[in-house]
Amino acid sequence: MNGVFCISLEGKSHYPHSQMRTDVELMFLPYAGATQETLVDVLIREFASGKWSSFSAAVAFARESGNYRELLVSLTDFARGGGTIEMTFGANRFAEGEGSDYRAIEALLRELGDFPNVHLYLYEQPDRTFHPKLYLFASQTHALLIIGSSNWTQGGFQRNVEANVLLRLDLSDREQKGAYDRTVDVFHTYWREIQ
Amino acid sequence: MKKGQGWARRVTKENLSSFAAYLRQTDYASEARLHAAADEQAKMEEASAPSPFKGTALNFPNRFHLTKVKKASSARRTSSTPAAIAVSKGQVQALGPKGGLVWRKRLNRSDVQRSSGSTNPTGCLRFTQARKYNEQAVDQTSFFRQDTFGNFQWSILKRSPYEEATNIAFHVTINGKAFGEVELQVRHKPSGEAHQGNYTTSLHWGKLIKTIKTEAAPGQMLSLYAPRTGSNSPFFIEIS
Repeated sequence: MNGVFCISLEGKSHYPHSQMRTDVELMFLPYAGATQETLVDVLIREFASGKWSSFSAAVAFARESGNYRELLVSLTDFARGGGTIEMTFGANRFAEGEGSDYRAIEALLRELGDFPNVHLYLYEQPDRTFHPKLYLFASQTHALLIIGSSNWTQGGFQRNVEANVLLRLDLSDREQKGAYDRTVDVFHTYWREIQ
Repeated sequence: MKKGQGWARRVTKENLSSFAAYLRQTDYASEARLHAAADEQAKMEEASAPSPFKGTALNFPNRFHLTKVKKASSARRTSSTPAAIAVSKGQVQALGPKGGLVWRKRLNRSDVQRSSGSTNPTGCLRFTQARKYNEQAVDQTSFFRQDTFGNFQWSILKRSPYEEATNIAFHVTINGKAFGEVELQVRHKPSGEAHQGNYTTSLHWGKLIKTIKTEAAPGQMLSLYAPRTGSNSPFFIEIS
């Protein structure tokens, strides 16, 4: 595992009478240890790894600062190679100055908008802030789920004090597949609220 | 879509502009033009109406005088919600001598009492460092308590954490509707300065709270004007 701080988590799953064993990596920015690896490094590396067929993200705020050139190139290469990309960002216009940047979305669309396998969404709810930070790479057999505090911003990816958990899931394992399916369901729940 | 539920929409190159209102555009050229126009208008208003807030510090008597009472005066308080009357811009100006622009803020949900989730409405407008004025950043920790409202009679509201208050008359206009002269409480809590530099002074909407909730909207601009020098008129709040 390439992570900064790795443990193997063995604990009870939501399935009775069973345990789920998976690889867990904790990433505390900016305390990235000797590797100095940041979340944007992880994303770029995973896009380039050739392991994944899809990438999903549900992130509260996107800023122009998060659109690193290397990251956009990685996303574009991934899409060009047939990878599916679905990203949802919060459109929290009045949340105390928060919310995604028009220009950030515009830049993502400029790079990715012509790929039929790329879908970008905006989520808005008047009395509730869209606040998840979920990043999910998946293939037929494995998945990498990143859950934490990092927004699609330079701060979130690199500069802020952030905490993220990286879960590597083996989808041949029934329980890990279950956890993966539940996560995918969450993503679809956002989009189901569309109609 | 059910009531209270959020929405998600696919955004494309073709329809992105239709989402503009839901996205931050603080660096956007149109926003910059909007602010520039507002600044220009403010400069013109200031030039035509000499303001005590123009350039030099004010020299009010009793600026830091505090009376040792538990609560600020509630004189002239009435229970009824002010009724709205539609007036033209010229009529509004005729209602009282308005001085220069003191401060502006783009209102957020909290300011207009539309709280999120389980959060209770604050009941107040926070005097934050929301806008630069006269090309100088407002130091919100002292600008309102000392420079703007320093000549009013402040009372100790609470000793721990320390909080002062005073009642000030404002002439309030929202979207062209004049709500007349309303006495509102301004509170100053120095301990707030330690909390991420957010705000230390706030305006409590009091009997205007329902009016603000129904008439004002997040994203609108609130402008605070001083009384014209030498006049006995109230401060002016305009939301549009």
